[in-house]
Amino acid sequence: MGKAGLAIGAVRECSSRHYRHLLAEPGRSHVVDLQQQRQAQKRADRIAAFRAELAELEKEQGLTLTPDQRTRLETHLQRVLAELDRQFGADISEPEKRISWSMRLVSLLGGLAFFAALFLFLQRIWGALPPVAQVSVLVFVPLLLLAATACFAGRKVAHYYVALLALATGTASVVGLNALGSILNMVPSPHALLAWGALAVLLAYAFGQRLLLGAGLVLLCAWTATLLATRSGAYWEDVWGRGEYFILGAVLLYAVPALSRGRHSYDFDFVYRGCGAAVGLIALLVLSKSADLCCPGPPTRMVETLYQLAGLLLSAGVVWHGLRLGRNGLVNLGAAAFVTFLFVCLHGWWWDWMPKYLFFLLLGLTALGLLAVFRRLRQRLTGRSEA
Amino acid sequence: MKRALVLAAAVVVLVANAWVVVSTLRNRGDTPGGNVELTERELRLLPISDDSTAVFLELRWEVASNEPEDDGAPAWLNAVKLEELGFDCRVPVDSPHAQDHYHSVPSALLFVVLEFEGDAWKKSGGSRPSRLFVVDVGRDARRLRTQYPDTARHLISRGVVRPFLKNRSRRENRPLPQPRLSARIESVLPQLIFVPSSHSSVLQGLRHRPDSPREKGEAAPPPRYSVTVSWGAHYEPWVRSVRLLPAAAESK
Repeated sequence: MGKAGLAIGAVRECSSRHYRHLLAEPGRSHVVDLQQQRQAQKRADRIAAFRAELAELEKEQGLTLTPDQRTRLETHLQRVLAELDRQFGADISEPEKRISWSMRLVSLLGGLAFFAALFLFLQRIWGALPPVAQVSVLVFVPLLLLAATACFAGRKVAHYYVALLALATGTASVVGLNALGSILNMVPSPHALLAWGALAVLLAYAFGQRLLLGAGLVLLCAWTATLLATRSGAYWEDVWGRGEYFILGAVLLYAVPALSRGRHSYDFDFVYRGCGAAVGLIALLVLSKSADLCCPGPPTRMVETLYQLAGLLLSAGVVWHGLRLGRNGLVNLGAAAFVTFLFVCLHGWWWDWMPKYLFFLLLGLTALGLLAVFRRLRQRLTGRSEA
Repeated sequence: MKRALVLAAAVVVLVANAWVVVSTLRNRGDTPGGNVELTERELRLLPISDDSTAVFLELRWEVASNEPEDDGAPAWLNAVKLEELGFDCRVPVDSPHAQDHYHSVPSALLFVVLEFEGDAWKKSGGSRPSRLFVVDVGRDARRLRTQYPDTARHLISRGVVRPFLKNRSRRENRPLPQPRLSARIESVLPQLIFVPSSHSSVLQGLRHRPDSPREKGEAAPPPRYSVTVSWGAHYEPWVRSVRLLPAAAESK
C-alpha cells in the first residue's frame, strides 16, 4: 500500500472510530447530545479541511489517488457527512455554515426584539396592573422561559437556540427580581446576587452554557465579596471599588477545576479558571490604583507598587499555566493582564519625572523587549514539540 | 439536559421571589417605622410617559448643617457620634495618616430618623423644599424609636452614612487650623417609593414638576397632592393613600 493507501486507511479507521463514538446511543440524553453536536461539527470541519489539503497535495503532486481510491474516499466522506447532518444538524459546507451564521444573527436580533417588545409593553401597562398581577408577571415570565428552554432542549433543537432561551431566562429573572424589589419598595439586598448567580450556574449545567456559567460565577464571586464587606461593617454596595473583597472568591474559582479533577463537561474547567483569573487580576488592578482604601497604614505608593508587582507575577503565572494546559484563552488573558500591569507600573514609576516622549519611547522599547522574549519562548516551545 | 437541574433552577426563581413577597408582607404587618401624611414637597412625582405608566415618588429630605461649608454633613454627626455608631475613629484627626485612614473607612447602612415639621425645619425658616429632616442615626432601630416615640412625627428608615475628614476650608481654599471628623448621609433607602395602581390613578393627570431655581424670597409652588406613607417592621415604606390638594385643580 502506497502513501495514498495509508492515508485512506487512516481516514477510514479514524472515521469508523469516531463514527461509532458519535452514533453510540443516539439521543441518550441532552448532555450527550450537546457534546456530540460539537464533536460532529468539529468532525465536519476536519473533513472540509482534509478535502482542501488533499486537493492542494494533488495539485503539488505530493499525493495522487487512483480513481478507485478517490471514489471510495468520496463515497465514504459523503456518507459520514450525510449522517452528521442527519443526526446532529452539522453544517457540512462553507455556504451552509455562512447561512447558519446569518440565521443565528437574525434569530439573536429577533430574540432581542421580542424581549424588548415584552419589556416595553409591560412598562406601558404597568401602572394599570393590580399588584397581584404585577407580582405574577414578574414571577411567571422567567418560569415560562425556563419551561420553553427545557422543552426546546428536550426536542433537540439546535444548541444555539437553546442557549438564547437560557440566556433570556437568566435575564428575565434578573429584571424580574429587580422590578419586584422596586415595586415593593425594598432596600437593595446583596442576596439577590446569590439568587441570580445560583440560577445562572444551574442553567449553565442544565443546558451546557459556558456564557451563563461565567456570568453565574462572577455573580457568586460578587456575592462572597459583599458578605465579607458586610461582616466588616461596610455597606455592601461599597465593594465595587474595593478589590480586596474579591480575591478570596477569585482564588476559589481558579481552584475548582483542580479540586473537581476534570469531572466537568462542556469545557467548564476553562470557564472556572478564566473567571477566577479575570476577577483576581481586575481586583489586583483596582488595588494597585487605590491601595489607600484597603491598607491606609503603610505608604500608599509602596503598597500600590507591591500590588502592581503581584499583578505582574500573577499574570505571568496565568500565561505559564495556560501554556501548560494548552489553553489559548488563559494565555491571552494572562498576556493582556501582563501588558496592562506593565503599563500601570511604568506609568507609576516614570510618568511624573521624565518627558512624555521619552516615556513612550521607553514603552515602545519595552514592547520590543517583550516581543523578543515571546519569540524565544515560541522557539523553545516549537523545539520541544518537535523533539 | 438534566431534569433535576431544571427543577432546581425553577425552585431558585420561586424561592427568591417568594422571599421578597414574604419579606414585604412581614414588613407591612406593623408600622414601627412611622406613619405620616407627606405632600409633594417631600415626595416628588417622577415623570410619567406613555411608554412607562409606573408611578414612582422620590423621597426628598434635608439635613440641618451649621454652615454651607459643611457639604450636607449635619453638625451632630461628629467624631463622638461616629465612634458610637461603630466607625473606626482610632486615628487622631491631626495625625499625618488621618486623611488616608478616614478616606478608607467604608460607608455603612444604618437607621436614620427623619423628623417631619420639627425644630430643624422651623430653624431653617421653612426655606427648604422638604419638611423632612434627618435628625439622628443609629444601629438599633428599637432604641431610636424609644428615643423618638412619636410615630407621626419621627420616621425611621434605612440610610447610608459615610464618614470623612474635614481638613480644608472650601470657601477660603486653605487647610483648616483644626481638622474635624464628620459624615455625610449619602442616601435614605429606598430613594423611590412605588405607588400601586389602586392609588396611582389620582396622580396620572399630573405632570412632573422639575426643580427650578427661585428668586430670593419667592415662595415654592403649593403642593398638588398628599400621600400617606407607612414605614413597616423592616423600616421599608409603602403608600397607604393618595389625595389631591386644591392646587392640583389649578395646575391641570
